[in-house]
Amino acid sequence: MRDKKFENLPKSCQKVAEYSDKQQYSEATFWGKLKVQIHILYCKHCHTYHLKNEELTELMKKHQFKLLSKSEKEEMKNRLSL
Amino acid sequence: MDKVILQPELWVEKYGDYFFYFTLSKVSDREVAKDIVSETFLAGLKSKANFEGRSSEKTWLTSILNRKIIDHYRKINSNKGKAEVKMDYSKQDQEGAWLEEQVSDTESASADFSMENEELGQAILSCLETINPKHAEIFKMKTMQDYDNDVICNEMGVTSSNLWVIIHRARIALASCLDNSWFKK
Repeated sequence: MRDKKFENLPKSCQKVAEYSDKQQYSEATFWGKLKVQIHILYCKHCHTYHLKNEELTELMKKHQFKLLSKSEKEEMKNRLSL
Repeated sequence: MDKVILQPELWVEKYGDYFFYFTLSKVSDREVAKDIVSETFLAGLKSKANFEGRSSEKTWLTSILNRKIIDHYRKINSNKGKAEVKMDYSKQDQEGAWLEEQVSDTESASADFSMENEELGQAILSCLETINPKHAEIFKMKTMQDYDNDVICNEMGVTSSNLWVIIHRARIALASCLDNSWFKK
């Protein structure tokens, strides 16, 4: 996935990438998930992407991120008068 | 090497989350962490003229941040007074109990885990600094702050389908960056 641009991928792979991404956020439909599973059986490229995607999700889940909210950032900018 | 030029107008967006995360892991209080990060940026702004451009902007600001964290601890330690150590093994049947306490040290294993976890968090946030700022912001909102898609689309001015293209690009860029930084360790 790294060496190919999204727009240069076949339409079917673009769709599968989207389903795979949605799956990481539990937003994929049953059919979406099924399409990913079938597609990665014969497409090595998407198979690699899907595995990497799941690995990244696992890594992110390991961690509880505490970040600044948008309003806190604005407050900070105001304090700096930027 | 080109001389680095400071861009204070980008500091909050670029380093705010990383510095906040880093500070929070040291002080464990959201409000205090926020104040320390603000003070760091203010101090950076004040001493802008002293920046020689030989290190990166982030390195320079991190050294200010570290000093601010140390100052914070100095301040609270001087307020707290001396540390209190309490030991009470006076009775005969309690003799040796302190040995057991030393053996059942469940804290240190979790300390290792939390340190690795902290490093992972820093690696992820550092990688996000290197990708397209809009993509990074959208990725953070979606993945780390659990915002609804509608909220993200409204705030960032993107369509729903565009949102998934951006998420896709951010995930690829992040995975590739982590491959080079975190997994190579």
